[in-house]
Amino acid sequence: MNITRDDLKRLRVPLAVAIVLLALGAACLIAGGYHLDEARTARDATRASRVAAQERVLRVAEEEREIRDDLVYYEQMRQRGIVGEQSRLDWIESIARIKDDRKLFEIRYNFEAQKPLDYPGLVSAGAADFVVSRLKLDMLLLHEGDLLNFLADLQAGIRAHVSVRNCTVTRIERGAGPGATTVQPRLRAECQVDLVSIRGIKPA
Amino acid sequence: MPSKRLCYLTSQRVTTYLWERGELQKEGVFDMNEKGVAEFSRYVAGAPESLFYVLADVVEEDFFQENIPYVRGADRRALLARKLAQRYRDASLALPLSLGSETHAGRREERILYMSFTNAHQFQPWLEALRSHEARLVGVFSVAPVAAQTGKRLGFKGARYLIVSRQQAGLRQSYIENGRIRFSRLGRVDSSDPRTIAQDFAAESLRIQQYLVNTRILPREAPALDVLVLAPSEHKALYDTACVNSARLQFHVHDLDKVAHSLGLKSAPPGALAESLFLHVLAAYPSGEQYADDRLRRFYHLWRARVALLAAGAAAFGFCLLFSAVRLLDTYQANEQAQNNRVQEARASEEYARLQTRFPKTPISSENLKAIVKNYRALLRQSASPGRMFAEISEAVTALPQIEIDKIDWEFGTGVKSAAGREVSKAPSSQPAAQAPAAAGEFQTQTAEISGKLVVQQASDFRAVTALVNQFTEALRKRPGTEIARTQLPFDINAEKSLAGDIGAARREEVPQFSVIVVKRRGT
Repeated sequence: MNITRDDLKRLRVPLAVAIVLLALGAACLIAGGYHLDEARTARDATRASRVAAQERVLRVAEEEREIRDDLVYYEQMRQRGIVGEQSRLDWIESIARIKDDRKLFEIRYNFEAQKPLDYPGLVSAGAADFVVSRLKLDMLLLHEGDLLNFLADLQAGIRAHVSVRNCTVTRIERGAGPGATTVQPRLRAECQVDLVSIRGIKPA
Repeated sequence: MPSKRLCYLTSQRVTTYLWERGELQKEGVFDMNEKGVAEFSRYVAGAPESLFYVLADVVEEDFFQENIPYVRGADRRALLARKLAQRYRDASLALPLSLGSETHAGRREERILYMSFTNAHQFQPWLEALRSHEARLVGVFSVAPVAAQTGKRLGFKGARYLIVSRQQAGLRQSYIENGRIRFSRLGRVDSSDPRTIAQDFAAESLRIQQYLVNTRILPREAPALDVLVLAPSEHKALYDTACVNSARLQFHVHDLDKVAHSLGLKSAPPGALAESLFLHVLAAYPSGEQYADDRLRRFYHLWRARVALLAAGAAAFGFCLLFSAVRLLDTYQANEQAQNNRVQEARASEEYARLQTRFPKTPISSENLKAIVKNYRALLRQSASPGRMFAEISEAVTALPQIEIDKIDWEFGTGVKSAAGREVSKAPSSQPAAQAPAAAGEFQTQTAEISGKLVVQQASDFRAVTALVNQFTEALRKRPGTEIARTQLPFDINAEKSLAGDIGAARREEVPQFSVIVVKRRGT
């Protein structure tokens, strides 16, 4: 059957009705799909939150143990004076005290400017910052035990975490050592030590 | 569904019926004259929403069978149109009917039965009345194909049979072959005596059997032809008596009313003959085998297009609505699940808060505490003292008094700063390559470059010097986690380089120097 212009005119109304019905149906589908997507997104989000909350409850004993462990470390840090502002005067006094106690030869020191600690593996700790002051030491030693004792005393006595980064110990040729004391230094040590502390901790 | 109006057209008159759910009601009788046509026109105008069927029962009908080449599509349509135009002067009411295909001399051919009302002129006023009122003409039908349809509906078994019936137009005999109409003729019934009419049924059946054989439509050697006789109920006994089986004919006399009832005709107008059965079959089981062209059926096609458009729109809308309902149900279920999740999360949070009261008090928030301690642990892992390494070097050198150490350059960390550290980075590691990057943060290395001199009798005693340094490095290597990254002897025994010395002249002032780089990986 050939469709004429007059035929099309006669089919205008049913065609329009069919298109309207199709459009209404499509609108229903789109609206239904939109609401379904939203509901599924909300459901997935609430499911994730629910699972997280339930896992938190399951892990509560472990979390409690972790906090207790952390508190042990924190107390250790606090006792060693790592927590809080750096006090260079105290450090200098500590170095002087060790020198006197150990009866060491000359010790030259140089504190570099404080800067954020950039060791690998450290993460952002909120408001608290790990900072480091690099200490360069130049010491004259009778034997290598003086250096090791000095470093041990420094770690035990100074109010910061002590991290020795490098040490160069060189033999001083006999008769070439400075000073004219009867007991002359036989070694020279040049060390670089990081003094780490935490600043900006706010109480809970 | 619009009502169906059936127009039974004979050479004398047109009788119209309303068909509704198996009930046939006579609505009008219109004589074959101008007055009749005018009344019919008014009748059609009064039923604009109806579907009209015209069932013609006239003598002027031609049946002609011919084979055509087996072609399909537009070629077939064009060929059939040409054949019809060749055979009939007026082919406006003609129908080519396929009777199947057969092969002749290796060529496949299609058997076509051409059917046509040869006097289309008598139809024109009636069809014009329908067209002028934009009536939805389903088609112009002949009793012959409808009779074949009736036989099929009745389930009459037989490859060849004859249906004999009496309508207002006369006595109709339709020969059916393999379920398709093959030939039909309408004869006059002059007598009103039922007995005579019954005898006419038998006589005309024998006559048409002879005609079919003579025209080779029916094979001469064919068995007795089945004859389905549709007899009026009240006179069935007369037909049973008149129709006697013979070698050429096998009669099956059926009660017309019972046949009509079995096909679903609930009621028919009083006095109606077999046309009521054929009209009912036409309305209840419409067939595509009709004679009118598309011009006459235009408004029927338009109506079908309207219905199809609306039905398609409604179906699409219904489908979308159904699909949306399913989605709505899914949305409802998802919302329910989300609500359940919220409730369970709130409960878990309450439980957590209750359990949290048992936690020890922390000086800072637990998150900050955790982060600080984590960093502190990382810091501890990256802290070391040279004491242990110095002690190991001291133990190694104690056993070898010929070695005097001048300098130890110790370094800790992952960064390569000193010359010794650079040597370490070049030295092959015992760890697999894939693990090395991952472990970089965990396995810090201590590196010590040991420089010293060898107190030996003869500096050119390369073997003794080499053995001494090897003893020293072996002593260091025995320490757990310790590797020797590089050993620098006072001379180079590499065959690719030159080597010089003096044998015999011991010169004490030449003291051989050496250096060793020792690496100790933390965590090994």
